[in-house]
Amino acid sequence: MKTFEERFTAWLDGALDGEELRSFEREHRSLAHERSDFLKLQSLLRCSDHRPQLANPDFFNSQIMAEIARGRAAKKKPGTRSWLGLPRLAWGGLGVLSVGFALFFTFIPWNDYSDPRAKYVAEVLKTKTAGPKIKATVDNQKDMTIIKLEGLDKLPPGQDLHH
Amino acid sequence: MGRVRAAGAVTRLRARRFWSIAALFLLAVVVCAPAQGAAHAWSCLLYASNAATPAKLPERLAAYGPRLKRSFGFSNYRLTAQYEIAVDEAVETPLLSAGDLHIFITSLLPAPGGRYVVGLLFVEGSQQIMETQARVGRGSPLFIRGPEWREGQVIIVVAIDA
Repeated sequence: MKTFEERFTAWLDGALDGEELRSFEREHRSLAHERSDFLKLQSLLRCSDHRPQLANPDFFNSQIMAEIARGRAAKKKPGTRSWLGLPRLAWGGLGVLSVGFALFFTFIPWNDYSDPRAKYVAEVLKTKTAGPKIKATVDNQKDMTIIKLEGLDKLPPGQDLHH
Repeated sequence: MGRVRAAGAVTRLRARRFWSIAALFLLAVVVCAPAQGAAHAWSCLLYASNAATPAKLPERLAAYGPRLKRSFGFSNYRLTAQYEIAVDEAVETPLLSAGDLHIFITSLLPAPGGRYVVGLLFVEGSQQIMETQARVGRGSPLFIRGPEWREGQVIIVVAIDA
């Protein structure tokens, strides 16, 4: 047994025939104008389904995308994230450090350009000999420091000390 | 298309920022590089005697002639061996080798005022004779009076240059 909705839909679609059609129209005489309205509406919808072709679709799309990008940028601007975000702080810190190092090494002299002979520095901090037989004494003069080794055996005269 | 353009602009911005930072780092590295240059060690072996034949001191020690005579008591100082090497701070490096006499640099550390703390090891044959540590200025020679040889004495000189 079909419900009213099923029979009504089939009637609108023209799917009822024979005894079933006559029985439905006899039972629901007042629905005749409903069908004519439905047909009018259907024809109108089919007519409006026609979409106009754009003359320059690429330009249209680019305009829409630009508008979307502007909208996104406008949303980001009011926030503090753009200025205080971690990546920006990190890059900023690195940049400042680099500039600082560059300025430091550029403007702070690190070379001693004085004559090294004018500033003789040779200070013996510690000495340790192999055994008690050998002694090392340090002679600190103003412009000459000597470690004097005593107790060494004399080298053989035939030993070649050239390279 | 617009999205592609926007993405391209962001990429260009990031690339520009990256190259700016890279350029600053490069500048810093270039400026810093000379300060971290390797040190050079120079060493020589002198034979001190009273021989009549005149001998010329190495150029580095030209100003030390009178002081050598005063300190060691010999009139003649002949160069027998001379070496100059680049020194790595972390590695024990042979500096001078003449006959059985050898000098090694055991450590080299930069010190304030453009000086160096240098560790030296004096070896004769296979025997370690002396180990010493000294603070030296650039180009300031440290003298070691070594063993006697023939009619005179062996003197070893070590200097560190930047």
